[in-house]
Amino acid sequence: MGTTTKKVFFYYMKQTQKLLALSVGLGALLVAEFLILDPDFHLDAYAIQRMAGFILFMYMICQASWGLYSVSYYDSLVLSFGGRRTDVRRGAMLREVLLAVEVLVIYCILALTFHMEVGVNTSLGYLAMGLVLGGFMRIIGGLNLKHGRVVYIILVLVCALTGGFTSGFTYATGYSFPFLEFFNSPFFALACILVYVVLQYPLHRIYKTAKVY
Amino acid sequence: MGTLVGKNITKKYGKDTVLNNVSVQIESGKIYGLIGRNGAGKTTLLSILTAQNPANAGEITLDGEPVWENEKALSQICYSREISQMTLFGPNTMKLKEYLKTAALFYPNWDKDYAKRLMDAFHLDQKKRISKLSKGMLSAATIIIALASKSPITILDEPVAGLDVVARELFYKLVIEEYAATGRTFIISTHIIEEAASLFEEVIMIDKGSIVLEENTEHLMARAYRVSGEVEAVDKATAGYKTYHPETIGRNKVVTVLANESGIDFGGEVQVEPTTLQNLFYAMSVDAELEV
Amino acid sequence: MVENLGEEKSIYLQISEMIEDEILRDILKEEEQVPSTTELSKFYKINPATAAKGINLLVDKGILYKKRGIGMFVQEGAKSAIQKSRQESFYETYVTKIVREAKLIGISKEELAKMIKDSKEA
Repeated sequence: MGTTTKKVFFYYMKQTQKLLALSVGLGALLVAEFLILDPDFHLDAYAIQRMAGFILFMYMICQASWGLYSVSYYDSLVLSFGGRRTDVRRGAMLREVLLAVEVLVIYCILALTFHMEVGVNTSLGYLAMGLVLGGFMRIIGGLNLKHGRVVYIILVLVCALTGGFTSGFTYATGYSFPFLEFFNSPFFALACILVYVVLQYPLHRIYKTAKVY
Repeated sequence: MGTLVGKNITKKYGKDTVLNNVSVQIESGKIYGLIGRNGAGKTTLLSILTAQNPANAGEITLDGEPVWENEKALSQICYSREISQMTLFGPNTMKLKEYLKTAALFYPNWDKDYAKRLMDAFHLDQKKRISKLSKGMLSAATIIIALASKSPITILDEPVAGLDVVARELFYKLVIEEYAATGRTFIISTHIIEEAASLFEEVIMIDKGSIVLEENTEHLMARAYRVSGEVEAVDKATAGYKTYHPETIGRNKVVTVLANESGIDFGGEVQVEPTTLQNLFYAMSVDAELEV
Repeated sequence: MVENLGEEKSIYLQISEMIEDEILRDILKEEEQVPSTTELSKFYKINPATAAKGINLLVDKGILYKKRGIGMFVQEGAKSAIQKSRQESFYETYVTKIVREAKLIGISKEELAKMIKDSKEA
């Protein structure tokens, strides 16, 4: 591995640590808030579970937002300093995967230390979904560079419509979409990982002619 | 250090051909000046030579090896372009300090002490956010990155835009010092031509996406003349030569001539003087403007 | 040294002529060290290669010589060498100009010769 490649990877891994600190830090902050406010509050397994859940939530937000920041700023920055496009693409992927792994480790440590009740499927599901969100938002960022803000508008519309439709329909008819059940299955995490791998193809194309702006 | 060669570069943005079959050769250890009007293609050319922008056609090589996606080549080049104060999300809130740290990470020859001295010389506070920098500070930051990178090939795209005269003179002094000490290759594009002209060993003139000239500055200026005198005498003396920007006042005429060689005798009927690079560029550009 | 370089001729020639002038005026004496190319380039804000060209021209003419590791020095006999070569070009550089100008403004050659003879310059 050439030295510039190492430097690019190092740069993206530093971002992972920042995001890890952000996810875990905010989760811890929430617990601290409860400790201060609630007189009955104990640092028990249930509280830690809530915190861990929040950490996972923050993790997903970090993955998604950093996907956009990456394509819109940091990738171009690294290119301007002489980074190769292949390295930049892999670096962003490294950031996403490494973050997922590190959060998983933290989660396991918390679970084991505090004898937390763990929903294996859902937790792994969230972690894997975070990956997909990261990759997906990078694609959105790439499309935005090509086509402009309309991409965001379409995305918001699609999310709003789908979300609104499914929740409204479920409420009105009591019918639970099988797809929503799938979220809780053990295969969901695997499916997400598969989707993430597939997303690398459009990402490859986006990064191939990436330019500095 | 090596020769950076761009062959048959073409770049289109939609229907606009910004660079049309451009070829340049940048030899190592020289200071190049790149001059051209706004929109002539200077920045595009520079960004393509450094693989920051893909070309539609053409090859760019450093010492014979392609530059595109080539670590070895890219690590020898520093293209310090103006840091954008706006990102796609909003103002660029990155601190100058972090930008410098990133530069230090990526440029293998980065000189930290030199960077600190330069920051002091330009009175820059590294705690400031990029979006809050003035035009002058922005230019100064770009210059500092370029110089402190100590890259064998260093490219500065309009480094003095936004600098006041004191800072500009400081810049020229710094380039001379650095070049005298290390012999690095520099490519400097600028609009403030005359101040920098005596720095350029070679000059490249670009207009509307094509290279007009690529020549040793001194050779070029030796074959440029300002011929003045009575209108008919001037026309007679300069017949057959390429002339630019004729100006008349009363019965007198002045014209800029770019001949094929130096030391031409235009005869005793007219007065002949040398001219400056800026005047030559202006004369050639202003004519090109009128042709449209 | 002359502060500003003009457009009249190539910069490297101006540099070499300036050094020659200083030698003629005894500002630079024989066996004395001349400013380095780096110093010259910084002072006049010119490309160091141009300054070097000016210096090298004088080395080729035998006006300056190089002491390895130290710098450029004025050759012994440089002053008289410069005087000699300048004498040879004096006619072209100055005399023709004065004669032409005198003719243009109506001063006869005799009047011109008298002016020169009566001139209070040392």
